[in-house]
Amino acid sequence: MKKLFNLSALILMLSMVACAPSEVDDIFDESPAARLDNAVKNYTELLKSNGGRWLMQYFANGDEEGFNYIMTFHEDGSVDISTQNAYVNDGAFYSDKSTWDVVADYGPVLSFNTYNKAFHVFSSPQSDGTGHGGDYEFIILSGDDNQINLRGKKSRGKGAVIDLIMTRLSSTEYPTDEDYFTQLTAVSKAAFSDRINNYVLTTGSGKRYICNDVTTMIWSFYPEGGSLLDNGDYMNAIITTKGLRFMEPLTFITEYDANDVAVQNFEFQPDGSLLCADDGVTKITGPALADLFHQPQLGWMLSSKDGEFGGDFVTIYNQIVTEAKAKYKTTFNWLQLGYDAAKAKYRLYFKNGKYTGSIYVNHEIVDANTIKFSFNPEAEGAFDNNGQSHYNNLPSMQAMVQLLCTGEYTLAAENVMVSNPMTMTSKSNPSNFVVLSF
Amino acid sequence: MKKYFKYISAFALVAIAAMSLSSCGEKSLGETIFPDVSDELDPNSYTYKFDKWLKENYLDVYNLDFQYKLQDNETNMNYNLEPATLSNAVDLAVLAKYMWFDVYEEVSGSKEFVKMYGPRILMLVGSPAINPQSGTIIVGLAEGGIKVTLLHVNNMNPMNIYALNGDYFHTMHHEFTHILHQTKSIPREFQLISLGRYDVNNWQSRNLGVVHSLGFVTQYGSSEIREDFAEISANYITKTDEEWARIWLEAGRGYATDGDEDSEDMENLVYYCFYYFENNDATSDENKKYIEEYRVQENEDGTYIYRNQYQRGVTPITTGEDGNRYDANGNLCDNAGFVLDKNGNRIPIQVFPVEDKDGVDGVAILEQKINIVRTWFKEQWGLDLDEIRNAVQHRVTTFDAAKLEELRQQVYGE
Repeated sequence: MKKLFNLSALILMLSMVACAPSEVDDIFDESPAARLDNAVKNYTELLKSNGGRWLMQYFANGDEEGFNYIMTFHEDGSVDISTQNAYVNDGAFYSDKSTWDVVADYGPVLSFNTYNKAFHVFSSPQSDGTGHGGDYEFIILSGDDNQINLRGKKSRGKGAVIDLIMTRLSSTEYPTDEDYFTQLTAVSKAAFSDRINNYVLTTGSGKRYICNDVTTMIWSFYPEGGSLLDNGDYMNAIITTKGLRFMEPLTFITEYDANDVAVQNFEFQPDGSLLCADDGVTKITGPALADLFHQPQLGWMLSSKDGEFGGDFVTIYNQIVTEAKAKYKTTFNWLQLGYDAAKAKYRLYFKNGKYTGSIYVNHEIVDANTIKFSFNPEAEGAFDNNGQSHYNNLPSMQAMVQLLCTGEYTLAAENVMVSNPMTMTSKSNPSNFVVLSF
Repeated sequence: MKKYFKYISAFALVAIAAMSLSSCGEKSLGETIFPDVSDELDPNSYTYKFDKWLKENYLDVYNLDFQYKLQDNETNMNYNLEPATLSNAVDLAVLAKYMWFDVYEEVSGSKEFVKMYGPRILMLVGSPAINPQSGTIIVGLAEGGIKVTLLHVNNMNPMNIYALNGDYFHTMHHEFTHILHQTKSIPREFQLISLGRYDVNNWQSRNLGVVHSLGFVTQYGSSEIREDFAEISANYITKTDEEWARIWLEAGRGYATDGDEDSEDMENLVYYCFYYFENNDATSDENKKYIEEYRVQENEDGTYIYRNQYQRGVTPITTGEDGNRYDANGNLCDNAGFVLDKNGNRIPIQVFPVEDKDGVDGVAILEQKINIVRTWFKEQWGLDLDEIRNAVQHRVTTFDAAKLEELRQQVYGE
C-alpha cells in the first residue's frame, strides 16, 4: 500500500509539472524550421557573393592526400569546378560545369547534385563498391565572407569526420582557374623534395618531430630520437599556394593534446619554411644543413662552373688546368666535390682529357651548420689510379685537397626547406667558398 | 482480492494522471513553423528548360516527381553513389517518356491509367549500387510501387536502346506490374503453376538455362510467385524476338552438370545441354563428356556433331600388311591417327542432347504463364499485353539518332 501511495504522489507531481505554465522564454526568436530555412538562404547568398569563387581543400578520406578545387558558384544554380590532380584528366588541368544547391538536411547542406567530371570521381563507387569514399554533400558548419567550414555528410554517417574548408579565391591574384593551378604546381615542386629525408617539425617548446613522406602529402611523424615504428603517426595533408593544411589537428603530438592546441594550418615563409597559423610558433623546416650534407642519397656536387666556387678554390683550380696541360698535354675538363655512393665517401672527382679520377676525403659534422674535411694519402682507398697519379704529379691538386681540408666550413642556404643549392664557406677565409647542389 | 484492489487503484491513478496531462495540451495551434516554399520554377535557372519540361511532362501529367539532382538522403546510405550527369538525365527523361509512359498512353488511350497506378517518384543515380561484400551490382530499384530508382545512368549509351530497354524500362514494367497486382491479385492458376520450384534464397545462384527449362523467364523470376509474375510481364514486353527465341530454345532442353549440385558454390556450377562419348565408346558412362553449346554443330537431319573434331583411333596405331594404318580396334586411320570411313573421310564425333529429366515442360509452362498474364491484363485492366509489347518493340526497332535528337529537342528546343 505504501508503494501505491508513493506512486500516487509521483503521478500527482508529474501532472502538476506538466500543467505548469512555461516560465522560460524561447532562446530563439524563430522556429527551428525557419532558422534552418534562413541558414540555407544565407549560405546560398554567401556562396554566390563577390563572384562566388572559392577554393575547396578537399579530402576524400583519411588515407589520401587532399586536392584543391576551385568552385565558382553562379546565380543560376550552376557551378564551375576546376582541378588539376592525378585522378582527373590524366593529371592535366580540367574544368566542368554542373549544378549545386544548399538544402535543408542535417542543417544547411551544400550539395553538388549533378555529376561533375572534375569532382565526383572521388564519390564513384568504382568496381569495389567503395572507391575513394569521398563526399559530394557537405554540412555547412559555419562561414563568413572569407571562409566556409564544411563537414562531409555521408562520411559522417559512416562514423568518419572529414572537415573541409573553402576559402575565398582572389580573381586579382589568379585571374583564371588555370593560373592558380599553374602556380600551385610551381609551389608544390619548390616546397619539398622527395630526395630529402627527415624534415623537422619544431613545437613551441622546442620539441622536435621528424617528418617524412612529405611530398606524398601523407606525412609520417615521430619524435626525434624515436622511431616511426615505435611512436610514430601519420596525417594526410593538402598543399595550396599559400601553405599546407593537415586533414586534422596533430593531436598525436602530446604537447598539443595536453594544451588543447589545434595545430593544423601552416603558411609558407619567405625562407621556405612553414609556420603554423594556429599557434604562431610551430615550424616545419628541412633538416639541419650538416645533416642534409650527410644524407648520401642527395649526392651533393660541386661543379666547376663559374660562380660555383670562389677565392682560393678558383685560383687553385686554374693552376690545376695549367699544370695538367703541361704535364699531360690535355685539357682539364672539370672538378667536382661529390658523393660516391659505392664507397660511401665524398671525393674530389675530376675529368682530365678523357680520363676521370677520384681522391677520397673524410667529412665530419661539427655542428648543425658546420662541417670539416680531412685527408690521409696513406689510407687505403684514398685514391683510384688516376686520382693518385694526378695527386702525385700535380702540386696544385695536392693544394686543392689541402685547401678543402683546412679548417671548418659553414653551410648556408636561402631556402631552409629545400636547401638546394647550399653554400659551403671557409670559416677561416670567407672568400673561399663552394656552391653545392644535388 | 487485496492484490486486485492494488491493480485497480493503480490503473485508476494512471488514468487520472493521463487525463490531467492531456487536459494541459488544449492550446490553439499557431501558424506553421515551416517556411512557405515556392514551387515555381526560376526562369533564370541553369536547368530551367529541363525542369520546365519535367514539370509539364511528368509532374503535371502523371503527378510524378522526376528527381535527377541526387540527394543522398533519398538513397540507401550504405552505398557509395554518384549523381547522374545532367546530359544523361535529360536523355533518360525523354527516353523513359517515349519508351514507357507514352506506350501505356498509346495502348490505354489516355494518360489517366499511368497517372493512377504509375510511380510517384522516378530517381536517377549516376553510378550503380555495388555491394562491397557480395559484389552484386544494382541498376534498378523500386520501393513499394511509389518510387523507382534507375542507377548507373552515367554509363548509359542513349543510342543503345536495347540495353536501356533491358536495364531501365524493364525495371519500370516490372514494378508497374507489381503495383497492378497489388490492386488486383495474381490469378490463382498462375500461383499454382510453379509451386514448389521457387527458391527465394538461392535464386541468384541458379543457372539461367536451367530456370528457363523449369518455366521461369529469369533467375529472379524463380525466386517467388509475385516476382515470377512481374518478370513474365516485363520480359514479355521488353525482350526482342531473338531474345525470346533463345529462351524458348533453352526452355526445351535438358541440363546436366559434372559438378556437385549440392555444393554451396552453386553459382559457379557449369551446366551443359550436350555430351559425347570419348573414343566413340558409348559402352560406359565414364566415357561421357559434356561439351559447351558453342562447340556443337547441328546437322540438317537434327543430329549433332562436335564442331571441327573427329574420331581418333585407339592407340597403338600400326601399319598393316597392306601398308595402311590401323588403330587397336582395326579401324582404318590416316597418318594423323584419325579414323576414316569407307570413303576415306574422317568421321565426326557424334554429340547427343542431354535428356530433359526435370519433369517440367519449360516451354509449355512459359506459354501458359504468358497466357495467364495476357488474359489478366486484358480482363482486369483492359490492356492488351501484345499491343504493349508491339508498341515497345516497334519503338526499339525504329529508334535511331534522329529520333533521339527529336526527343532531346523537346527539352532543348525553341
